[in-house]
Amino acid sequence: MSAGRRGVAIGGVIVTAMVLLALLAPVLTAYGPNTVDTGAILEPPSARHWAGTDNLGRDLFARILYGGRTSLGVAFGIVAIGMGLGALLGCAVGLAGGWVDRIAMRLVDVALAIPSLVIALALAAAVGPSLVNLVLILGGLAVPLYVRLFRSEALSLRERPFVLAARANGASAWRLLGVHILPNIAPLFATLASSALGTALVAASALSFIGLGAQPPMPEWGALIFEGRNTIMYEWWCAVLPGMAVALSALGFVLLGDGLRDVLDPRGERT
Amino acid sequence: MSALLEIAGLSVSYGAARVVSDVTLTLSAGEVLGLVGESGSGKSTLGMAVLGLLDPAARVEAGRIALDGEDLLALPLAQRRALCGSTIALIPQEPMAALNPTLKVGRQLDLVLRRHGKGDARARSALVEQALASVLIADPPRILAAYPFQLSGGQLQRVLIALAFALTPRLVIADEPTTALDMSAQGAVLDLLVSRAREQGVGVLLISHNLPLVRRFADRVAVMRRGVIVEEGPADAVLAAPCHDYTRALVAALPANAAPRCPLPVPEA
Repeated sequence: MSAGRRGVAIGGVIVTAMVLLALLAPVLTAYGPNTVDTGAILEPPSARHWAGTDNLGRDLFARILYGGRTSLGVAFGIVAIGMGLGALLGCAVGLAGGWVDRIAMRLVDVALAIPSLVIALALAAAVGPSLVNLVLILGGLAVPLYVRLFRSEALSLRERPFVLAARANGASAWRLLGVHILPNIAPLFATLASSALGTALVAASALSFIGLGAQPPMPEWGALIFEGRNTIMYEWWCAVLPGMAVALSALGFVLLGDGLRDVLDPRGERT
Repeated sequence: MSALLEIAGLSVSYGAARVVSDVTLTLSAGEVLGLVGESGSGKSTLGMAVLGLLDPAARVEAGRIALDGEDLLALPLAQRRALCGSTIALIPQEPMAALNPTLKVGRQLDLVLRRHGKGDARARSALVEQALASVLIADPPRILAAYPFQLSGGQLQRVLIALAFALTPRLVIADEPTTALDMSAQGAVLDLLVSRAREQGVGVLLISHNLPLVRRFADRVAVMRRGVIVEEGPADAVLAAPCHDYTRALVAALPANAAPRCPLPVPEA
């Protein structure tokens, strides 16, 4: 099995498992994510509480599973906004060319020259901490990067004979974009999206860790790590297990993305 | 034959570089005009100028392109685009790359017919099957259900010819339609293209490197060098007895003329 296919297989299994665990949370655990049990505070992992409990006696396994819904949902939201808008705009300006392309690219240059993390922190502080704001800010800040990437792909596709033939058959700009350009960037989109999900997951967890994302008592992996940070030397499970969930999911996404890149580009497939 | 296409004093530039210079040509309905010349001589740029699909960096500096007496360069963009496919059709040079790899052939043909308002789905389907049958494609349903990569170059070029003629155009621009095909398919494809054109009274601008095929299928030929038409006339006469040095050089460069006429060595029994 080539490295690419191995990456797709391993990454695919990890990502599928994490998504299923999050989706099936109510089936997999009898505990609610916010159910407080003052008789079971900071209990280590056991048969009763598989991942232990936190400082309010909440079952950590349940909070990690339900937190996966939040964290993965946020990551998907960020990528959907950032990459979805970026791909659409990038392909549109690449196809349009001329002054539209020149103006759009100068705006992208300006946007990329500003450090995105600093802007994210400033915006999150300005509009107030919430998950919706987090998704909008991180998704919006990713748009310029993807505009540039997909614009170059559209420029290359625009010169392909089938696009010229479609224009010669009278296809409108919208039809060129919707029928001939966007479907042909799907492999690139899938590859980039998978890697971007890993990055978005880590970024969202980081912002939640510093209090700019999910707010208590909502379970979210970055927020769970934050809640467990003070007791990490003694009650390690409170921070380490949510941290492992972030790391494992990000690894799965990155492996899947790298594998897809190799598999979908036979010239670059390593054996 | 009445003049279908009239190009008068056409000049096209890419920035400071003039790639088509003061070209004047006419093409009549039902006529095949061969346009020959080396790579970079401006043949394809001329074809794209007629279609109105010049690269954004290119600019028509002067001249007139008229189809049935109507100045195409004076038309609004939307009106010009509406002519593409329906009145002026293109047969591109790389059949393997000229269809969208992500769509089935039938869907691609249907999209073009729908764009030009050719009836409902049933009518379009009948028109597509009829178009494929007219280019002697066996088993049209199989071809329509296939993706481009599942078909041979010859089959795809027939599909493209069928598509070009399905909308009953007045003018077909065939931009090196046989370049990507093997020798056996080249003659058959051009034979088909030219016979369809003559049946429908369509003018064909046949852009090609292949002088023997142009001589065989074109009524007239124009020889282009560095953006300028250096010689024009009946294909047979021009290619049999060229007047211009450049045309003579092109004809002399044909393998049959250039290679020393000695028999291939035959190994002894």
